[in-house]
Amino acid sequence: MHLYFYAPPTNRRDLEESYSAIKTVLNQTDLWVSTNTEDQGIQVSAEVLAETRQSGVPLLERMDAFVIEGTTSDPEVGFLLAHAIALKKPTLYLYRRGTVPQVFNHLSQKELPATIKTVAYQPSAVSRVVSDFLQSITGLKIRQIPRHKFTLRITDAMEEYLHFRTHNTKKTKADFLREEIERLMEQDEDWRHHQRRRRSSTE
Amino acid sequence: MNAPSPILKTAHQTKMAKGKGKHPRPSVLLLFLGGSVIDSRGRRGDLVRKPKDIEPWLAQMSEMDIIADTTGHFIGPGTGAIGLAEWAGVAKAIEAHYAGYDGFVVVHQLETIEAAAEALSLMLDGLEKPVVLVGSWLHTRQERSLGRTLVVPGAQEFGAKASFINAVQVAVSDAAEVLVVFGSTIFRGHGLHSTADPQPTLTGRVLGKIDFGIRLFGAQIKRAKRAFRIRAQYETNVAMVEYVPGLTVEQVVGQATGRKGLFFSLAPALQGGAAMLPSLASSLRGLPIAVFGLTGRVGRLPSSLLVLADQTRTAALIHFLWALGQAANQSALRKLLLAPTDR
Repeated sequence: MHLYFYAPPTNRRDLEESYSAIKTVLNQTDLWVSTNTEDQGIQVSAEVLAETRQSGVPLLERMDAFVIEGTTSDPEVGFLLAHAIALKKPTLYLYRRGTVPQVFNHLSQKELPATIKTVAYQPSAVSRVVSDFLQSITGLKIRQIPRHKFTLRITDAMEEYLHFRTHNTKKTKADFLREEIERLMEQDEDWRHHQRRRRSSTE
Repeated sequence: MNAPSPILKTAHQTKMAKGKGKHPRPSVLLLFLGGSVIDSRGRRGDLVRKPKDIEPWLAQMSEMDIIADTTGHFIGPGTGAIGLAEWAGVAKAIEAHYAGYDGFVVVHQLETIEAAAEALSLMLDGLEKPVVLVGSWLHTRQERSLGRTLVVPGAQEFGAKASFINAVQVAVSDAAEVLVVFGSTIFRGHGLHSTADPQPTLTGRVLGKIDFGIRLFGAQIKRAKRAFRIRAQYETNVAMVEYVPGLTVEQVVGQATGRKGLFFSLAPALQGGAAMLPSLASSLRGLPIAVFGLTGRVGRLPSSLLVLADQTRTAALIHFLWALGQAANQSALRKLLLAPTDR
């Protein structure tokens, strides 16, 4: 799946931080993510690249989804949004809470099709907004890359059990443990209630 | 050619005009001459065959209004033969509305788009705004039944809409000349060449590319130093002769007598026909004779012949008909035909 992330060039540090947070979420997925915010920002599969070269169809039309940060005024934003609507591609249009993007001077949100999701975000919540969008379009749980190292001492019986569960499978013992923790998190009502409370306080 | 339609605005634009919009916006005039199919089912609003089709078509293409205020102007249905009369109509419409718009999009039958670009490059002199030609590769069932089956591999149904959006974005750009948007490439209007085999393609001088946005190659963007004017006169009373073995000077003279010019072309494999050129020049003294297709050494030719090179046959013919319509004498004709045509 191919996704294009567009954010207008800016000198605003707060916006750059949001751009960075958005890219962090996107880069944690196995999507082909292209963006204008990096020098070498075009990443597409060899198949799509060959197809566009052969047919002469713009890369834009081969994207499966768009994420646009449209807080500031920029002509490219309107251009991409027009394409996203015409091509019926799932699109997340982000802008800072408290601002009115210029594009909405010419188009009310009610006129936008269901494929375009507009979200006024708080900087602290932008990662979650992007993650939720990705889940909605891929039906795929966006897995974060495990970054925290943790040393755990276990008993012989536990070790024997882990071996029993992962022997002749493609999983490592660490994978098995991570999946079990995720399963526990999903089933833990107290944890989910805590998460909901924390999200509502940041919005 | 049908009578020009009044300018039509979409409901969205009417709303904008009532004061909702706060920022000055670019405005683009779309001129319709075929090539407007956005859905091959051919329902109302899927293509523009009549002036009254413009409003529903614009409503279906309301995405363009995010980029600019778009209005429509009907030139012709573009379903049959298109030629200099229609292109002169486009040039006159651009002249009539030149001051009121930031750019122009000519929605044009795709099969003849390179000839249209050549003609408009000649007719529109001193442009300070973009004039962008674009055409849909989709055909309605009715058009397909008439034998129009041009297909662009890899192009998807929604790609036609995307092409129109690209054209509007180019029409609000800094380029000030006649351009053609075809797939992911923005071509300069003069000197295009189209091929249909193995798939429809255009080749020519590239002004920009479309990937995730419009990228114009800045070095070639220029503004005209002359005031804008149209030069839409042309001469059609011209004999067109293609050399075939056995053709005689007398036959050519017979065809050219009473005409305002002769367009004589030779295929690459039939350069022997050049041998009759001195006799033709002598027999048709005073008649402008354009020669196209000379590739080899043919010896010394009479200086009165106008040898056209480095163009396609279609472009050379359009150039000749247009120059005949402009020039008052042989010297002016020679200057118009043989001077560089970069405008």
